[in-house]
Amino acid sequence: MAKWGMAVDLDTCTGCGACVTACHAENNISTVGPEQASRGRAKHWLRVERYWVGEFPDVQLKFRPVMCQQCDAAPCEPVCPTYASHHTDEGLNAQVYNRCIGTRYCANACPYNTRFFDFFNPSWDKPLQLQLNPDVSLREVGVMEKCTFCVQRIKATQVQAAVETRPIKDGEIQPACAQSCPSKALVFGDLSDPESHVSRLARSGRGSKLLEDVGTFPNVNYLNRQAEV
Amino acid sequence: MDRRTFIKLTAVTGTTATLASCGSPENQLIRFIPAEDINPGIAAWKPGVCAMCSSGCGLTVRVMDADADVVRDGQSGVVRINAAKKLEGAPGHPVNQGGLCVRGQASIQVTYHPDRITQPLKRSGNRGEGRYEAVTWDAALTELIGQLDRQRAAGGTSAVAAVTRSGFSQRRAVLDAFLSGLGAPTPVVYDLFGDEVLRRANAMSFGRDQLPTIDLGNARHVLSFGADFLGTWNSPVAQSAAYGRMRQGRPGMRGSFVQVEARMSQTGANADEWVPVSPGTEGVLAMGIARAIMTANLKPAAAAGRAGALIDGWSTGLASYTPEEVQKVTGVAPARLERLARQFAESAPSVAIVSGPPLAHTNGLFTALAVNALNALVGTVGQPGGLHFTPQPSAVRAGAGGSLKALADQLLAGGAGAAQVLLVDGANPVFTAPRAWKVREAFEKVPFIVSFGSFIDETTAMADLILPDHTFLEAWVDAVPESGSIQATASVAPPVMRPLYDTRSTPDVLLDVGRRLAAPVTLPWQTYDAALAASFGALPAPEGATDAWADAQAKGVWVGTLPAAATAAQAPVASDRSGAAVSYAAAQFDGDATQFPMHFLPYPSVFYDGSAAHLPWLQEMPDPLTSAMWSSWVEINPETAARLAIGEGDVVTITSSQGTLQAAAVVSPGIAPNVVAMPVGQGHTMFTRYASGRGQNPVELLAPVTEAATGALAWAATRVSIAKAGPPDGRLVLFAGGMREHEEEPDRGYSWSRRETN
Amino acid sequence: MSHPTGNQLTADLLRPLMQTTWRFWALVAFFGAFVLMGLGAWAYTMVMGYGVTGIKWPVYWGFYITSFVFWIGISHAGTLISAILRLVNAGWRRPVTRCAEVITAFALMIGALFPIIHLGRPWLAFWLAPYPSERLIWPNFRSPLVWDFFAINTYLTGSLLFLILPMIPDFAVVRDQSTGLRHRIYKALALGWRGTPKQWNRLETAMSIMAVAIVPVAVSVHTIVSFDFSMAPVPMWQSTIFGPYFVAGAIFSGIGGLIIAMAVLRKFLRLEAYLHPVHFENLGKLMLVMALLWGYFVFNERLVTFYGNGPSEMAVFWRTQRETFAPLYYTMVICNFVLPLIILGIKRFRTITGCVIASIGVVIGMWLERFLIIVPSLGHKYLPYSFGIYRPTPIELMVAFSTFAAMCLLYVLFAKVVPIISIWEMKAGEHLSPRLMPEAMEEHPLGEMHL
Ligand SMILES: Nc1nc2c(c(=O)[nH]1)N[C@H]1C(S)=C(S)[C@@H](COP(=O)(O)OP(=O)(O)OC[C@H]3O[C@@H](n4cnc5c(=O)[nH]c(N)nc54)[C@H](O)[C@@H]3O)O[C@H]1N2
Ligand SMILES: Nc1nc2c(c(=O)[nH]1)N[C@H]1C(S)=C(S)[C@@H](COP(=O)(O)OP(=O)(O)OC[C@H]3O[C@@H](n4cnc5c(=O)[nH]c(N)nc54)[C@H](O)[C@@H]3O)O[C@H]1N2
Ligand code: SF4
Ligand code: SF4
Ligand code: SF4
Ligand code: SF4
Ligand code: SF4
Repeated sequence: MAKWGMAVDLDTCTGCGACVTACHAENNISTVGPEQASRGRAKHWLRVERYWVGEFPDVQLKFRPVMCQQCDAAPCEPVCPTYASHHTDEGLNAQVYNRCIGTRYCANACPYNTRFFDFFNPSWDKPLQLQLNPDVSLREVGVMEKCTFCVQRIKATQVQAAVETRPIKDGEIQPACAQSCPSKALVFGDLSDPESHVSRLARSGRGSKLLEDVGTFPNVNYLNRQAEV
Repeated sequence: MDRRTFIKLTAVTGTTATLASCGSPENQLIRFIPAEDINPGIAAWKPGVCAMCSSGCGLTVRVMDADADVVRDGQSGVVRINAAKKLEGAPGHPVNQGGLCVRGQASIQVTYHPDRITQPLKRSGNRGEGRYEAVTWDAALTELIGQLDRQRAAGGTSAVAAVTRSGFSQRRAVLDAFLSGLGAPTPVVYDLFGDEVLRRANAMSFGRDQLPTIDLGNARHVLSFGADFLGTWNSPVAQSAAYGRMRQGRPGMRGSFVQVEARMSQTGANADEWVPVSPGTEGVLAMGIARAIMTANLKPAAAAGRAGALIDGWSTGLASYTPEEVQKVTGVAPARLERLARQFAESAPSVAIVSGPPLAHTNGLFTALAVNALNALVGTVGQPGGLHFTPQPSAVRAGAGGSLKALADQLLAGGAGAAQVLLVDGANPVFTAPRAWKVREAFEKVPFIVSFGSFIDETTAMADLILPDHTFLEAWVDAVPESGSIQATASVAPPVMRPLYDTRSTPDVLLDVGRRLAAPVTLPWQTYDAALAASFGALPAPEGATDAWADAQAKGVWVGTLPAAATAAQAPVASDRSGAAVSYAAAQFDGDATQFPMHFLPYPSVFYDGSAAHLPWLQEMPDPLTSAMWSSWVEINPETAARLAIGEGDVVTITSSQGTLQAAAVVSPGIAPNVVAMPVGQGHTMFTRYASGRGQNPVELLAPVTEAATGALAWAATRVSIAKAGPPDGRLVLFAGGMREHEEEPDRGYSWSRRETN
Repeated sequence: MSHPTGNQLTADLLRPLMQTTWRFWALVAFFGAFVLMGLGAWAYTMVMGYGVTGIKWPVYWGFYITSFVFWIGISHAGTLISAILRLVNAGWRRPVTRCAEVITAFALMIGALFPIIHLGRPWLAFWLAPYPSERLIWPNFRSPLVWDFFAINTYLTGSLLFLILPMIPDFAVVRDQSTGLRHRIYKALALGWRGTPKQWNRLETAMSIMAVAIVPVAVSVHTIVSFDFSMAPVPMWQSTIFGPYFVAGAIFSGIGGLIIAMAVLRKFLRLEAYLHPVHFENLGKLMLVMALLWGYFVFNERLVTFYGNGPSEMAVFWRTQRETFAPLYYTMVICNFVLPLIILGIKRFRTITGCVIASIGVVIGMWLERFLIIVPSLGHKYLPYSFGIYRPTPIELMVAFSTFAAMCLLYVLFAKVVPIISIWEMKAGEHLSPRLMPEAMEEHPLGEMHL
């Protein structure tokens, strides 16, 4: 059984934000407009955090793309009263939109703040809806949504591989964010395969997990920005 | 009710309902027969070319069926179409290598934009007002042809002018050919953040009137002077891909990167070392580094060859650029200068890059030549890890574009030389040119303006006739990347989907109009795709393919070696008319330093120059540095902000000699205390529901200062004053809550009076 | 203790039931209008979308969950105090128990509404309940929200029983004194009460069992409510003392609510002869103890956080201690600690007015306490990029405010149909030789203890 994981190379991420828009495009994430955005309702399943270090002129900036960390011990799961947030056999933190009643408890419990609530019925000014991905369900008002590791792409590849009776190749599944990333800072793959690219990166010695001490056992590895070699 | 009445009633209500549903088109069940190649629920991937900038990135477009409201043959209705669903970077494309930038990702919203122009429009209101009425293509083309015939008969060769944006392609070649067939001058090419200065410098230093392709992937050290090469400049996806390899693509070797600039750009944010310098003195720092390299005998002056010889004092070791002198001018300490020089000379292969604000000063050409000389000194040109120049097919590099300023002056002057018909294709100079150039007033004087735009923006709103183009997903599309790939490359793709509306491909319209003129302009092609077939057919077929044209269509790109005959020949150009070496002259700024104490730096945002501000995904994407969405802002150093009692989000008035505007303040440690910066892109008065009336356009503050040698707009040479105008009023929308990861500095610990200790 | 006896007592306590003045209708109209406003605001939320509230990323809980915890807390006065006083057989409890128990019942009903009001899709709230469905989907029994569902329902059932059981003899009194429709209704409600020794015996036994059973339920309910917070890895929520801290706070605010209710009833129903200053004084002393306990818990919580010095906890800590939330924090400390200590600690101030002032302070302070537990933590959770500040919208203010009106309305209506002071218990206290009660019970000295 595969165990999906991601490696985020903070040394090559340039903070460009292509992944953010790619995620919107792939996953039918609606824009909320300026008024709602100013009220904290913008939905970015993937955000590129930036932090200033130091003061002018000795100042540096750090970028860090943060999406759902697909925690092994996900705090968002046990608190959900309806199993809308639950764990799949492949270690994904799945979100069943139709099952969600909108308690928002999961989002409070998520230490990474990667869960986003639909405060209104998502809408698209016609004909922007023609772009919608038929493989991803639309959400309605009052449900929680979040990064799924582009599970629709995982499933599609699994079905294709099963039809062709062959194993899935490393790198064959690309979430939208990883696919778009110009500098290839995002690497997705099977952590249960020790030879996969993502496994090798996770072992590289630069890897660490975000908020490791909270005990969520996330499946996203952050590869630290290196000093000069 | 008996059975009889019931049946009667049913018949009546049924007929009424049927009649009612025929009245409104969306209720009619079947109006158009869907395309035969629809494969319901099954996705197809088709090649495409991103048209959001001139980089020419290749696309792989996911296409699936969808029910669309369409207009066909003047009728509107719902039909199932093959619709583009998602744009991906084409994996094998030599420029973008599978990646896409944020604008490329969002560009699918151009096709599905709710405010697209769906058919030809004729102006019914005043110019600039944006009121139009629908006309048929026949009527529109007849009017255009009539105008062209009339004006040509009356006005001679300069009767027609065209304004377009930068970038090379067969599409542009059709426009150029059409204009030259009319006897009109080459089109004016205007981009606010154009690269004329760098092209000129490269022509002088290396004999290539072209932007460089930087082999970052093989470089060990990168020294960049203000170039936003990971964000918006040149070929950002290609450069980002190479940057990824430079950092982590080679086991055991990680390239280092130093950025020199006065305001930290998204690119500068990735640097290992960020070196702020006084605006307009970047060339001096480059010369200081060159001198330090020469004095330390790391490289001989002669190594720089022609590029060095262009610089005054180069052969004598740049004696005037002593570390102390350099510090006085730039603010960079001698020890740091020494270290930067050693690092640059000793970490071969190293490469220096320059563009952006350093070249947008009156002395921009000197700065560009200085950095070129630095590259030549360490021998990076044409070497792995260095600067390269992508071979360019001569077919698409006909002539240099004209100057917008000259066109505006000519139109304002009026008289016999002034153009009577103006064609606008893909440029919005009314928005991006400094007010002092009076572009709007100049265009007012043109009797007949035609725009090929898909949206009503500030320039298109001046047009008398709008002949909307297809979008790049609905039409044949091509691009010849000027850079981004070391090998010669041309991107091309057939239409991905059928057009949604009653639009027409602009090159086809031009060819059609040319044929129908009283004195026909006969071009060698009947259609745009025939032109593409001809130009790609002339290229050598890549390995494993028999037909270059068929192969290019299937892959979306041609890569190979251009035959010498088809390559644009280029030779070095003289430094200036006198032929003397170029020397440093302090940058000149508009505005008195006491009245306007701050340097004003407009910079390309995620909307680039504002041409992508209409896409809601980009509006809602948090800006990489400030996390701002749907807004514009001004960045101010914390020290300056404290001095002027300006807090985060406060409304600030910015005044230059040209005017004044108000924007929300973002207090940012990544900017020098004497500089304020504003992103360009917002402040459209008219550009779809998403961008109109949102934020401020910093271009309105720009003084018409030009680079001394090239006449290019020196967009970083304006001084301003700033003052607090009021408290935050909600116009600044930020996504992020915190600026810093650790609220307290670790060594300071928690104290009960943190406010005082800060 | 002295109060009117015999027929005078019955007549006094039945007066609000038997006579309807314009004042009653005015009160119903007044409070009803606010309740309608709240219902309207909620309906508006459902039609427009949850976005009309001030909730945002990442502060997903705000006024509604604050109100939820607040009302569940208020509910802790009634039944719990009444049960304890019954168990120790405190004589002064007699005029107090019913109005206390009513608070519990209504506060619980109102509190339990909030988890439904705050849902993104309230029409699917029944998914919280385990019901047989063909898809065999059950609620997630690991979720504290499901624990809440069971705990609150248990407590509500128990409290209603506890409230209704001793009402039966009083219904019989009303039945015997009324005619017509009223007679028939109370006849049904009285469940055939004849006051036989066997009936008295059963009632007393049932009350003893309920009094014992309800105490652990009450304690567990607010412990479980505290688990809503302490089970999530949120800075300053993950605390081992949240259980007792919440229970103490609940009783604390509950007493405050009770004192206010008693004072209002005393004034409006002219029950001065039955609710004496000593009742207030005793409750005031109890509240003083709870204030000290509360102060201890808050001090403990803050001290441990400060010494632990975890970066994410400290970010929240400073937010309340001296930044955005500091004004609210110090208001809370004054209301919950300084004010009760001064007013209730000094005998001269421990009058009815004094107790009411202190109680109002405590109710406000405890509302703020819940707000300060929820909002600062959610707004400053780990990654500073995702920090955010919450401000309620008028919609939330309307809904939250209307629940206070709802409480008043329910109280007014209740006092209209049930004697707000238990007639038979008053009489049982006054007749040592039981005409009404089967056997005389020696009242426990603890009940009369002067703290
Ligand atoms: N306007 C419009 N008209 C259409 C169509 C359309 O798309 N639009 N589609 C056409 C097509 S393709 C079709 S197939 C027809 C379908 O037309 P109908 O065959 O009329 O189909 P339904 O409307 O589904 O109605 C079938 C009826 O059977 C009942 N029913 C359900 N289960 C059972 C059962 O087990 N036993 C019995 N005895 N009754 C049952 C239902 O309650 C219902 O009343 O409509 C045609 N007409
Ligand atoms: N929920 C629900 N689902 C149902 C049913 C139901 O009652 N309820 N009914 C079921 C039944 S009985 C049926 S028959 C199916 C019908 O299911 P579909 O066959 O999907 O029916 P339609 O949506 O009517 O038509 C499909 C498409 O055909 C296009 N079309 C129309 N004319 C032509 C043509 O000449 N050429 C081509 N290429 N395309 C054309 C239309 O524009 C439309 O987009 O649905 C089934 N599914
Ligand atoms: S990151 Fe948050 S949403 Fe994702 S699995 Fe972990 S706790 Fe759940
Ligand atoms: S918001 Fe939805 S997913 Fe989250 S805990 Fe509540 S029901 Fe579960
Ligand atoms: S994996 Fe998919 S859903 Fe998750 S952030 Fe990336 S694109 Fe979005
Ligand atoms: S696309 Fe890649 S480089 Fe750009 S922000 Fe996302 S992860 Fe970083
Ligand atoms: S760099 Fe230019 S061509 Fe490439 S994806 Fe971005 S906008 Fe499109």
